[in-house]
Amino acid sequence: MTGRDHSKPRKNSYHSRNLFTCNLVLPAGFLSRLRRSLPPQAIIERPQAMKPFETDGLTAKKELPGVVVLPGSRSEVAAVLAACKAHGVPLVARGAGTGLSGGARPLREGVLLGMSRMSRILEIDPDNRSACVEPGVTNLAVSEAARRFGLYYAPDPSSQLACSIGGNIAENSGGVHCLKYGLTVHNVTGMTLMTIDGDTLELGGARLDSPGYDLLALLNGSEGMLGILVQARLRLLPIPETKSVLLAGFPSTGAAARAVNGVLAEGFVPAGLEMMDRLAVHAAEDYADAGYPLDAQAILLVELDGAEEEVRTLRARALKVFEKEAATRVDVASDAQGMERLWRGRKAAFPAMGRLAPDYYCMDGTIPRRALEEVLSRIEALSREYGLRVANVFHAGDGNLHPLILYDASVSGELQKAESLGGEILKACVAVGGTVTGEHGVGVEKLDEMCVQFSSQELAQFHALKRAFDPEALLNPGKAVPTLARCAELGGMHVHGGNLPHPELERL
Amino acid sequence: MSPIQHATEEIRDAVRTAAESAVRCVPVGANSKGVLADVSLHERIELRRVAGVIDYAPSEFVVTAAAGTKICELEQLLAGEGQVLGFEAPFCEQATLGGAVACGLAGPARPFHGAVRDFVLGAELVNGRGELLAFGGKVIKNVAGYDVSRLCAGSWGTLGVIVSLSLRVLPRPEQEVTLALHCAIQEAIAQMVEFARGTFPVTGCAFVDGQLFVRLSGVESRVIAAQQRIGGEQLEKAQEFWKSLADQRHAFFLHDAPILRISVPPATPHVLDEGEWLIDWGGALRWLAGNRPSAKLRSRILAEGGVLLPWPPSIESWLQTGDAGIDRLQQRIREAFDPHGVFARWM
Repeated sequence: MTGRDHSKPRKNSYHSRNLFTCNLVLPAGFLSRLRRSLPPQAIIERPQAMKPFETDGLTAKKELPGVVVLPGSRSEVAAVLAACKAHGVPLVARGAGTGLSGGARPLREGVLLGMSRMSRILEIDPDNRSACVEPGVTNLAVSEAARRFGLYYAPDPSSQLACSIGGNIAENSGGVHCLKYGLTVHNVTGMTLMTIDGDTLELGGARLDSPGYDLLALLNGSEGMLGILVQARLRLLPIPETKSVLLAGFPSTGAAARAVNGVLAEGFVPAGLEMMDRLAVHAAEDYADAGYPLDAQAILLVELDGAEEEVRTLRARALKVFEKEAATRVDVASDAQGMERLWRGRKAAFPAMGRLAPDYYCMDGTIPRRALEEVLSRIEALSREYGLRVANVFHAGDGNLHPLILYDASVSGELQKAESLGGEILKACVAVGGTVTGEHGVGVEKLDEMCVQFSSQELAQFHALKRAFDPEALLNPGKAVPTLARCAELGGMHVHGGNLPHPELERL
Repeated sequence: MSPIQHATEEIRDAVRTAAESAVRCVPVGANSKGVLADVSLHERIELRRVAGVIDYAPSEFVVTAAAGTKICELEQLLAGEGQVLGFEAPFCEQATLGGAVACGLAGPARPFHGAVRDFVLGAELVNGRGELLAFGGKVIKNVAGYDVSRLCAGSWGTLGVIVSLSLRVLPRPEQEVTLALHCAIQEAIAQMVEFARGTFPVTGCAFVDGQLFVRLSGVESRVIAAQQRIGGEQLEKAQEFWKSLADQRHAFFLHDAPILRISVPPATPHVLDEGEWLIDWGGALRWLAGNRPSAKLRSRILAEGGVLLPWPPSIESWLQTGDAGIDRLQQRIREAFDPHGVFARWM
């Protein structure tokens, strides 16, 4: 594991330890300052009690933080930031800990700032279709609160039952429906941000434009490195009148890929457009009994939404495209039960991998759709070369691939093989003009791949931008952007395990 | 080396030279928005020399073009494939792509399709050190690195010279109609709120001269169904009408009196009856002509969560927020891209 970037000593660091506290990694006086300015229930110091915070969804990366703080208000956040700044203690913000790239992995010498207690929905303003929330609120809770007004919050990452809005903003989360409704960045109209300097910045609002740089665009996806979000204003949308889900099986992945482009060429944007290859279909069917065609080489799931007459028109057109690409089987569901069945297999795809292999490694590359066939055959060739099976499950509409590399960590060398294979797949994505992460973020997981995608000048520009917000690198240091030294030294790939935390959550 | 690469190298040279000799530069597209009147002391970096489409695959709904490409040429190319730019850039006959994105001004579809930055997928930028940097990419989902390409939208050329852009484009709607309904301004705002909460395929919603204008776009069956429910008269020359709003060439804007641009939450009620009003963006953009704004109006706008932006825009007034913390931070962000102040326009 390459952890060297995060553990450099800082000023006032743990070289001067306070012998009167048990905590040996935080500077003298730091904890007592926190204790003075925060209520006792907001501070967790016992290692056993800090255990749940030692990792996020990337379980291979574990570290107990120096201390966990769970602020209940803005003034408590401000107190923590001021203490961190005064003592030079780094701070990692955490939402619900469902992130898949280790963005919320704690630092041994730092504070883990859990935002879960700041989870109020402050306002649902139906006339402005706007929700004002605290960052710890779960994604789904926003839509539930908005439902009685006929509105909902569109971005729906698969972990929406548990993941928080603050975490969504940090990662610029996507989801199954972002092809039509956009990513988090398209659905956040305002933020209240606290800086490490102690400023509280009101950015945007329920209005549509504001003077100044578009800091909202910059902050979405900034992985907690630029400031601490204490409030967000979200755009709500009217709940669509009706929905319909189509399933089509194809004789080849090429035909399925062509059907994806065919549907989009019809001039409308489906709410969701998902693809699974044969290996993924078999695993999912075995696990979830969704009635998927086992003879197909690939299947597509298409969700249509809108007004009744519109969905009817679009459905007819999609079916025509399926026919043209010689779909071997087509299912249409327009009732809740039928739609649930068709989605069930897709939603089970990740957990179902557990039946095929003890471990799997989920990738998150995005490619231009036109390169779909090319990249899929490259993945197949790599899979043969490495002797590891790869199941493909992905958001085909926006070219976001989730190749799942199957391996057995108990077999010596297999984990490393899986990692190298994953690295090769991401290189193939970059080579066709794509990116190493579509929606999971860089965190600690893809630091090395960032060296493939960006030049040293580009990385240096990212670091300069970070310093504009956080000159002493106290906010989530070491994440998201690799040091130039790391890229120069780049040898081995990252470590990754196969076991998902939060097994109760859907993985899409 | 292609002509675009060659011109890009020339821009890098110009910026490096400027950085060494403490000369200030200003990237200039077509100056179609007239915001660059006071830059005679600056070295002009002409975007028009880096022009041309770099990559366009209609099936991807993504186009990549050099920053000096004229918007109208890009639109023509897209039209051939049944596609459109989503943000209805103003003054599109003259405007360049780079200028349109740097100013970040969007037309009447803003609340329905998104802001200019929502269509930006990637950008190449020559920063104040003369380095050519690429951010974002050509794919819709991309969370690798800070989102600098979207930050460039609306940065008014102060972070560097945008030399190329990748944009998401939209399918041209197969059916589009604009309906006009006579009503009072209060009624118009109430109607706009109702449309926003409903599911009609609205892509434009404006009020001027005692009429509410509603543009419906999309699949034919849906547009027709919505048209029947809404009623009103079908507007001829609808395209010209919406374009006159995007370009501020509608008769409303030809007043001699000062024009104010007020951005508010869309459902903000209309209470103050001073001057003449034009409402766009489904209620979120309100233009006031005729009077200087009274103190009462200013405080009312602030209380509603709105903001008053001077029109015509000046780079300084559109970038300075008046909030000390934000302005300090912005200054540092600018310096992160441009440590020598090559593109500095406000201090």
